[in-house]
Amino acid sequence: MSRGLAGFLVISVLLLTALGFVMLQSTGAYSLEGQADAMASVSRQAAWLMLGLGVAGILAFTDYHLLERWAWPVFWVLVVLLILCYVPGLGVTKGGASRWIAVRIPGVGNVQGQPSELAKITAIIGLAAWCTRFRDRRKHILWGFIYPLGVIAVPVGLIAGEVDLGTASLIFLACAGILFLAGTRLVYMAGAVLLGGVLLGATINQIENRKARVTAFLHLDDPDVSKLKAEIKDMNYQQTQAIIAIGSGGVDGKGLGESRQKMYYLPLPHTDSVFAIVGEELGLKGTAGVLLLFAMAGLCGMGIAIQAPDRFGKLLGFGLISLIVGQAAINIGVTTGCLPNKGMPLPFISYGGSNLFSCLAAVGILLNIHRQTRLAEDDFEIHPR
Amino acid sequence: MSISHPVRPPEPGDRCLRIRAGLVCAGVASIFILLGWRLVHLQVREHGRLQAEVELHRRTETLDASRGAILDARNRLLAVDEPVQKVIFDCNYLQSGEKLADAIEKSENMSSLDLRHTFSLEIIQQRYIAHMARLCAPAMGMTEQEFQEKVSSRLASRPNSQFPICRKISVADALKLRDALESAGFGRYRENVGSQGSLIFRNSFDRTYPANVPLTHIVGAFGEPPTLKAGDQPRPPQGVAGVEKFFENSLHGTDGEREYEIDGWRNEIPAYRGHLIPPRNGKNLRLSIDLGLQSLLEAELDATGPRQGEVYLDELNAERVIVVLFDPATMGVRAIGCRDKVHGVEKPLLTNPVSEYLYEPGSTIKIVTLATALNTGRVNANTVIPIPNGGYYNGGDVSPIRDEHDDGPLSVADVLVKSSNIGAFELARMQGSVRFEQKIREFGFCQKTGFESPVESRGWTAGNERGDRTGKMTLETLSRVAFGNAIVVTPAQMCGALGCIINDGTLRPLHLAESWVDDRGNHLEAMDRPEPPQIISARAAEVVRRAMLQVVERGSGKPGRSQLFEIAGKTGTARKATTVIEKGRAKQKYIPGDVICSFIGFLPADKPRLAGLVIVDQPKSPKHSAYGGHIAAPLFRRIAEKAMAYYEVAPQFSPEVRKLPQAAANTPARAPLRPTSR
Repeated sequence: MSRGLAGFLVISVLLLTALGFVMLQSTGAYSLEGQADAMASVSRQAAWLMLGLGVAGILAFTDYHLLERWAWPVFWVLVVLLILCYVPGLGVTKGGASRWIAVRIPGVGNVQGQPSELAKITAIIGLAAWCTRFRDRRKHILWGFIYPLGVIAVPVGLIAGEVDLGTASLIFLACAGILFLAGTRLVYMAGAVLLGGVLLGATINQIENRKARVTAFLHLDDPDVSKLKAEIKDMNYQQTQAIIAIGSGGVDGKGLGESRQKMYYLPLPHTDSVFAIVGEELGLKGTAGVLLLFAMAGLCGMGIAIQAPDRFGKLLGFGLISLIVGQAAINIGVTTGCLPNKGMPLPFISYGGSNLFSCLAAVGILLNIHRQTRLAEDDFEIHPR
Repeated sequence: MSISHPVRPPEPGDRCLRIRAGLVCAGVASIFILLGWRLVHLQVREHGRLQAEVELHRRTETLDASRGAILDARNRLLAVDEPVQKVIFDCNYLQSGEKLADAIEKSENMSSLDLRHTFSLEIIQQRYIAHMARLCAPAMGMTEQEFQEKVSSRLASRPNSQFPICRKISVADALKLRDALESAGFGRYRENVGSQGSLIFRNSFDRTYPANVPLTHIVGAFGEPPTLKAGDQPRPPQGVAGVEKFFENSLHGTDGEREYEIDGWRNEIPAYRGHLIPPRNGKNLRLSIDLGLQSLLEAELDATGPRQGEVYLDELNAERVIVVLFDPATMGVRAIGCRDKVHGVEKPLLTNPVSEYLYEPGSTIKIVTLATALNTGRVNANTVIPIPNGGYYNGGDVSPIRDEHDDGPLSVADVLVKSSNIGAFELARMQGSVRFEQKIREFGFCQKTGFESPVESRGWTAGNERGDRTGKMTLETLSRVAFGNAIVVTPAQMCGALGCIINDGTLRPLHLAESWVDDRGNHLEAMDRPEPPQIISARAAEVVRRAMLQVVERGSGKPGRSQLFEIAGKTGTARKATTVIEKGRAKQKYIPGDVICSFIGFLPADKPRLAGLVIVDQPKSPKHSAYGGHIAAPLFRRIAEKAMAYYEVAPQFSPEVRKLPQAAANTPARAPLRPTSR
């Protein structure tokens, strides 16, 4: 059974990645940067895929307990990388967000990376290590709740400051999940959720732009939206176009490559909005298939995590799979108009090297957890206690 | 690379972890189920509505067909479509607050971001429309308020539609408008899609009339027809009068259509082009009108002068003057002139008097009476017709008939020359009322001739105004119809009758349209006309022609005698019936002094090159007697002589030769200097 979980996980991930390439081929020509050479984005993504598969392979055969040992040094290295995003000359700003650092490699050219994608994994590893190390104090308010949250707040704060609230929220949610699984008292978490909700509400109310976004989301289907401020209608543009794309696909879809919405109606058809194009071109069959693959990957990942031989493995596995599944759920939720608009790529399918790399790395770690479980079972069968 | 690691025994927290992990799994599964439900909702239940949104990207563009040109007999343009621009307003553009705010930020002196942050889309739309109106309305020939109302009402009723806001703007004005919009910050003109902001510029056509003479009574006009009911949508432009209206179906052609899809940047997507129906241009029509002769006629009608023996329109003070010139060989109208007291440059005449004007022809119809009598074979040119003493007939069978002159018995030919009413009556009575009425109808009277005009009057005889009592003409009616009373005719019918006599008894109706031609004026297709019937014998026609010559040489038409050509013709003077209200009812009544003077004739008499009809309705001239011979005949002669010069027909006589015998003893000159040439 446990062998099957890993197999299904790998199959799901490979199918999703393959679909990603197909959709990139369909939409690449309509991305603003991809007009000059549609194939360039495909080859760039393929390079990242190779790199990601290589790292996943290495991680799959590297005992994850090594990560527990190296968790904090790596954690702080990533924090430094996140700080570098703010350094002029190294940090790259696009669309008002400073999420990237660029390094010039002789003979290759400029290579860009998004440290926040790796920070997601290191934050999960760090928190899992913390909860394992201080498992006896899990119900303590400081050691089991405040301190771990405080440590995680460092990268989350830096990522939020970049302005990448989506990734920050995702890390925060995954970490909250780890604390929940680690046995933190529910009353602390409920209090934190309540306090966080109030603080979030107050913050949104203070920042006009955020307030407008929430207002825009609440009026997503409002026919009288033109009576509201013009910017509010504009904010709904992407989601409205995504919903049109998905709905117009119907059950059977318009056929591969036949999307109309990708032709400069729907912004970012190859990255954040790729799921809408899947819906338009492949119909309900395609979207349901993607949903099932993510669900299968999620259940397999959680199955692997729950069978992990130790607490660190369980928490790490849960954290990593919830990162992937949570990201997918948020992306699909935004695209279908269930959640307010937030730019976040769809794991394995959206164009974007860093995200593909970090997701594949997470899958590599999960596979290693699975491998260690099997090794431990074999060990237990040879030396039964 | 495995580290030796003992399997830890179950810990106290593991049970809690398993329970909570189960809860997380259930939560994740629930989220995916919810997302699945949302997808089903969007892709199954909402599919139709959302697909309709995508369908809005599909556009249909009308490809305007060029309206057929109208040419004169020498292929000179009378009406032609000139390339212009049509401006279409795209309401879809108004749905993007960002685009609108970007466009008006310069005019509003406020940044685009602030505008969007401060105002609702509705308000930004209104401001955008107001600024557009200020820039566009003058160039489009409308007021700013009209522009705003047009756009606002369309935006309210169909917010995703396009509509033509200006059907024609000259190419030069369109260029100026684009420059003005660009400098005001309303975006650049995009050549590939022909759009600039919310405006789309498309090629179209505008009807122009390059001829420098008034032709609305012939060619008609092109424009928006009046709406049938108040509040109706304006109907597309079409021919509203004249030939433009009569040949609307053939001239209009068929507009084409092109279906295409646009992307988010409003560029056409070549891969998704829909059907293409190319426009079929309208057919080009050649009329028999000769623009040169028409100009000449117009100039002669406007002419004033002191020459003795000539008649000028400004002296006549007539209600209306109509002149029709036609080629007797083809029966094609060469020129139609009309002057009345109502129409002019400010208010052009939009009806063709040739087919719509009704009048009592007076003595001009005697050519028909004579022809029909001669055709019976019972009389010839020399047969003597008894005329009672005093030129007054009171036989008791009909109301008394009076002749202008007491000439005694007259030959059949002299009945025409002297214009004897009694003689005409006798000739008609000789045929019998049934046969006479039948012949009158065979000549084309009291029925439509098929003249190419949207409205054609039928005419009637007294007692048969509706035309449904044929074969029942009374002797009393016959006695009046014989000399042109109690019958109402159109100029087209009268010209047709004259043409029949000129063409040896073959009746070809007068016509205006000659043929369909290609863009170079080459003949493509003839007009569909029936085989002309033989109404009277060639011999009878010849006798009438000779008599008509004598009418001008020594009869009532003598003032129309030319020193250059032999003109054959017939004068007519008829009392004019006017509608008066008596006891609350409209009634036709003859008013003393109100007459219609006319002259119908052709020249040269032996080889007719041009024929014509002059009608002077209700002349009030102290200088001229109100007779056809005194007013219409000289007018015809003056115009006809100029027309012969225009056609380069050599004069039959030198002026001196014609003057001398006339001065000596009214002896007709019979010495042609040169043979007549056409």
